[in-house]
Amino acid sequence: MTSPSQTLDAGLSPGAGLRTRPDRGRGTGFTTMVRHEGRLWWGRRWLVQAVLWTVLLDGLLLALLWIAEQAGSSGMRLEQPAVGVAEVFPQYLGVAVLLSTIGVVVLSQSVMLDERRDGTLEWVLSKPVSRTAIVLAKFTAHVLPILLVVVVVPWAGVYGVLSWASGAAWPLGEFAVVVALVGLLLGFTVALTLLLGTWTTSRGLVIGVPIAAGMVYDGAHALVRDLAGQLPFPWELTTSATAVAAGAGLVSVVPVVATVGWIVAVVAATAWRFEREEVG
Amino acid sequence: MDTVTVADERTESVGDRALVVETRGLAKRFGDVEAVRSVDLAVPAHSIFGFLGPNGAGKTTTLRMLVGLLTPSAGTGRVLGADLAGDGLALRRRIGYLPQQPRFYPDLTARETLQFTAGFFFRPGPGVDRRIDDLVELVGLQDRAERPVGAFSGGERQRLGLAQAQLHGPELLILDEPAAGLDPLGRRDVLDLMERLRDRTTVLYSTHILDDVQRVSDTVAIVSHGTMVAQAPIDQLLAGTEGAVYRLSTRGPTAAIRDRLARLSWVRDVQVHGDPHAADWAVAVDDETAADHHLLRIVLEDPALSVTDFGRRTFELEDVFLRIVEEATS
Repeated sequence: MTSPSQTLDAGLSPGAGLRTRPDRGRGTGFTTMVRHEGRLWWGRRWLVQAVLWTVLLDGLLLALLWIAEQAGSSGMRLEQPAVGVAEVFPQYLGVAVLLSTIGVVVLSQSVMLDERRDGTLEWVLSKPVSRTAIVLAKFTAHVLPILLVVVVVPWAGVYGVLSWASGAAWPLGEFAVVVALVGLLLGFTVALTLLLGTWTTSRGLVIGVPIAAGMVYDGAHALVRDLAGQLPFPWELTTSATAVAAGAGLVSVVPVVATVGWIVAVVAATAWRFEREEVG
Repeated sequence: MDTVTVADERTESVGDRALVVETRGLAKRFGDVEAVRSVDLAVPAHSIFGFLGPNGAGKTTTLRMLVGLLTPSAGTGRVLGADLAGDGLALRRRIGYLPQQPRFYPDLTARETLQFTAGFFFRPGPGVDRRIDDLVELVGLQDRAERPVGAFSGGERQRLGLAQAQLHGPELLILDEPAAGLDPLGRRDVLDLMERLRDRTTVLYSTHILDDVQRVSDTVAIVSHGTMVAQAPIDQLLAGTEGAVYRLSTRGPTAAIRDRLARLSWVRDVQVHGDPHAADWAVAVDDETAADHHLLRIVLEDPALSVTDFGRRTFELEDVFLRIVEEATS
């Protein structure tokens, strides 16, 4: 360590060209954090993930279509391939949503957890940054790229596969609604994973609970089939999306509105918990 | 030794110097564990304040409370005039903090780490870049600035930690074991840096390395089992509290002079160990001025006695530290 302290003094003088960031209350530090979190995605990572999920989800659809075609050629629905695609798509949705949920949880499980476990958080929190700003920055910076690589890019491929398999452009409006419903559910999953990342340091719980919650809900859902697509829970969106994919339209907007509310509530709960985080 | 300074006396001991950190009965409990029981700190402005204690004494927990990373279970405190229970954001703009064993984002380079840190204080610009260049040079990381922090050694992380802590020119630097993990040269550099910073900031640091404290600190606090057991300017601490004691080493008969000294009104006690060929004296006095003027002269008046060493007894910080901690423990 050799340099003169006078240089450092001069470096802080009014003429040194340093422009101080203003205090923004609970938003203080948001810009810096969101920029940092974002850079974790916008290198090669998003491209690799987008290719991976496109291969996985589009490959799954192609595989299901191939199986349906094989079944048809063995005497079941040979002369009506378009009808076959329309039947395969709703069935594909359930598996695709489950796979995507697992992917989203895996991609977002470390967002809160790693810094709490490895000690980086102590350093970050010693800076003028609001804890609420950290939570909002992490949610914002991760939910958008995650939805891009797990939903937008792969499902653009899904649209292409559906159109190709059916021999005509797949109904775009209906498809867009399905994608939006899936995206909303996965957005909630990101929020839930972040919340768990502030409550526990167990990686198993952070990964397991969001995946298990969806499975348990699906199991319990069988008990109230009459209310399918109408219950105010995020996992109901799978039922809603399946109905839309099957051409039955959106049964109810209740799950959609409720999920938006759940996302807001879960992010708020994450911020509330994180404000009470004790480092040490 | 009775070097414990209670809060009221302590406030007097810092005289007119403004207090940058002041706590009363600061405590922290984790479940059933009392990590900090009662800490009364008074850190004067522009001091290099050493915060000492055995492992698990509560040093790191106390520092974390001062930074706002932990909420005190009891007690009050003010840092740079701001209440610990108040706006932590505003306070953290004015302090720099080096955690014990600092951890940074491993994929960022040292320069990117400093840019990230600067983002909390300043808008990007050439002034920030210059500032970062200066800091990288100051902590001797020029050759490592573009390498990922994940590949840094403990000492390099410590240097980076020191750089990020002072990036915004804080009024108070809180350093948790700043010399830990550094080789002797690195330790020397850190101490030099702390001394250079004294003019423009206050340094509150914890450490186990007592030699370092004795070298650079002007005030010291000792904490044991979560309770502060001593706080004083280091000169006062090293002088002891049993009054001034002068030490002599002599050759020749000691009885006559010993009796003469014992009769003096300003001499409290005379202890002589050894034999006529080589005796060691400990003369405790109540009047230091009288002792400074007369003690050596009186001893030299005896032509049969020669003095080979004379001076006022001081203690090594290690002696003081061990004594205080052992007394507190017992």
